[in-house]
Amino acid sequence: MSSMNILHDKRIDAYNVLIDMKVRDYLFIAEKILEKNIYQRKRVRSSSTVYSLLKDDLSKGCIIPPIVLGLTRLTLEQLNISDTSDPNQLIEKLKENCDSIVILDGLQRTYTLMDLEKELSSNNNSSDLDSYMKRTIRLELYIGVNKIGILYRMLTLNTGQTPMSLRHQIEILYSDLLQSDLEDITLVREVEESRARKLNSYSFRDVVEGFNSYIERNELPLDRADLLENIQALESLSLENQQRDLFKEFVLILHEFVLKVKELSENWEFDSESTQISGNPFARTATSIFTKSQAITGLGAAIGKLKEKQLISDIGEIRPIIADYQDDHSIQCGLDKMIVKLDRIKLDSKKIGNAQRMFFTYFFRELLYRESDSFLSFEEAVDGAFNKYYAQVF
Amino acid sequence: MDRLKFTIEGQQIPFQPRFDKGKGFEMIDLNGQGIVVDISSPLGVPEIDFDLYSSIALQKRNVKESQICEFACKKNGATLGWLIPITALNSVDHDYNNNRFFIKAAYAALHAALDSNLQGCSKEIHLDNTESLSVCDIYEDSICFLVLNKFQISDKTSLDPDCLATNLVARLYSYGYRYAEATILPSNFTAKEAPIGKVRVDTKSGMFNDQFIRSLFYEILPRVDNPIAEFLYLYQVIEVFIDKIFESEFKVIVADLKSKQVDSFEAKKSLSRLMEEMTRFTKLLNRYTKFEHSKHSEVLTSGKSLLPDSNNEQNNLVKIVYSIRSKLVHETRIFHNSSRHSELSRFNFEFSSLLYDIILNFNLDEPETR
Repeated sequence: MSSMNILHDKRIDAYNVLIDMKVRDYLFIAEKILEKNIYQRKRVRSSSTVYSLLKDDLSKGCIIPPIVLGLTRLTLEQLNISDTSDPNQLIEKLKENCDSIVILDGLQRTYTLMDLEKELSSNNNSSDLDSYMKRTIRLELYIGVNKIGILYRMLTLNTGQTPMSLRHQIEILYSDLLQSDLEDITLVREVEESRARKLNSYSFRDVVEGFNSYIERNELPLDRADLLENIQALESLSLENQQRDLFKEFVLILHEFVLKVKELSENWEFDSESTQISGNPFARTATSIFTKSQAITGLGAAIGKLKEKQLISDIGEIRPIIADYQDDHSIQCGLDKMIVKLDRIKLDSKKIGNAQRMFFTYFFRELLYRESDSFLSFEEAVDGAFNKYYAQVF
Repeated sequence: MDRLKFTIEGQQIPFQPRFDKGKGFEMIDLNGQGIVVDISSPLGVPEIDFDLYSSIALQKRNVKESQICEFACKKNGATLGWLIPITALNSVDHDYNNNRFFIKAAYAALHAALDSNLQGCSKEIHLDNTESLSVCDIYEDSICFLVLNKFQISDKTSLDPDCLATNLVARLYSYGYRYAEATILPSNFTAKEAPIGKVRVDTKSGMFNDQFIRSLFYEILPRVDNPIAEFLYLYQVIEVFIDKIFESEFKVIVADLKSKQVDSFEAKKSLSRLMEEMTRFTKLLNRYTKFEHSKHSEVLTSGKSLLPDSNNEQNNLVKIVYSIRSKLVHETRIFHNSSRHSELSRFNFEFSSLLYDIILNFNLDEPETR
């Protein structure tokens, strides 16, 4: 008889439900998940050995380890289930809420299950297919878990396996924000980026990178060799308050800063006659400077580093600082100077984007740290950041 | 052709690129396992005919992403090719990210990078968990691509693209670029700042079709990491040309003797002078090549620092170079320390720039000087 078992995960304040499910039901849900979440990791580019063995074993009726799913929008109460509920009731609810489910662990097993279904279908052997679809597998379902909690659980579940980048996991988790407004902010996908330059619009990819930089405390995009650094990210995440939506807080900080600079600089725009540079400017408006990926990752890394060094106790301290940022008469000169410095960095660096990210990290640390000499002084922060960048690199 | 290989579950599998007009490049496995890896690039995908381009991989230590160079014909300004650091293929942070001609050249470079394995420059890629790669994941950051537009070259110049390629490879040598395959990048590398932006190129064929000149820049020098050996190989360019001068002028002396325009005593004197290496070297610079010697003042400056005890006329290019050659041949031992190596490396860069002008401008048929 089908059963259900519910445990409370105190670390991430979520419920873990162990449930048996027919392959047919699981594949229905899995196909919807993969269809809706474009960021859910694609199948491993593996040679066939391991997964074809698994497929063979599955066709012989082997039991695979539980596949782990996360349900992000609904709580246990909203689902109205308990240990004594009918598991089919939960399965039906899951089918209705596929767009809120992510596969935390077991994606490659899912693909193998799908492959076997296709294979049996193409063999026109309906009895084998029918018996396969009626077979039972085990699932673990995290319910009511917030996204930072899921991220933490994804990292812990995936550690030791072929690693998936933290950035990718953030993409998977927060992709639902693409479909909904975050207060009055819109996140747009890469293909829509030409429209991303409205004041309240940000590129989802850039914001994900910025948030990744916050968690990693590092402005640089990870290269392939660094994927195992997930362990470090895990340590950083374990220090975060997992009751709050840090991603949302990060986006709101960014948006508040962009609005503030626009306002204080009185809609500053680049003037090619007064500012001499080698080629194209980094950006032509105050807003476009700080909505570029380099600035967003710099902001994330700077806040992350302030937190790591215990110079702030919480990311929540940053928004009030920005709100208090007033009467900085240096900001227009500072923006001119910033464009010149970014141009110099462009000419001198091996990788322009990475070097500019480093500059922005120093800039935000100078500007937003209360004990810094350049605290809330834009032009001094630009000078200080450039000097630090230069000392670091040359 | 040696294909790029990626490691999957400990097994090396060869891959080849496939280009899709909508998506760009992906790599497909050649073992028939159906493995496909996307190749990401933030540059928009152009409409491109790869057959119109040829690409050569170069390598330079500490190359910067902004060091993108557009080579244009000196006569008519037509773009003939590009020099593109590999990092610029995977970036929109440089000034060319919206230049459609650059983007086509960049995709031609990507094609070259993915179509064969640049020996010694690629990294080991474990593909077990990978959905996409960038070209910077595959190769070292020191790689650059010299991309030539064959159609433009044949349409706007009378040159053979291979000849122009050797011209540019030789020109870039003095800026620290080396033909990439099997290159050893010297450790004491102090190259000049590389050219960036639009650079006009003299499209004379010069002696760039010469077999030795080609071998020198494609095979010999890229494998040399000792500045003494480098100098001696570079000096071979002088030897090649002064040999040609000897052969040519010797024929004239013999002909003059046969036609009794000179007597045997005069002929013997002329021959004796011609047999002196310094004489032929002087003729090479003063008679058989035409270019501004003053633009090679750095050969004098860096040469003087190598010959501090010498009191010969130090403003004479020939004497400086010949003195260094003699010093290296007869007193190689005194150059065996790192500071001397570094000085000699610097001199070699300047010397190679002088040699470029010699190769470009050498002409045995200069009538007024004969």
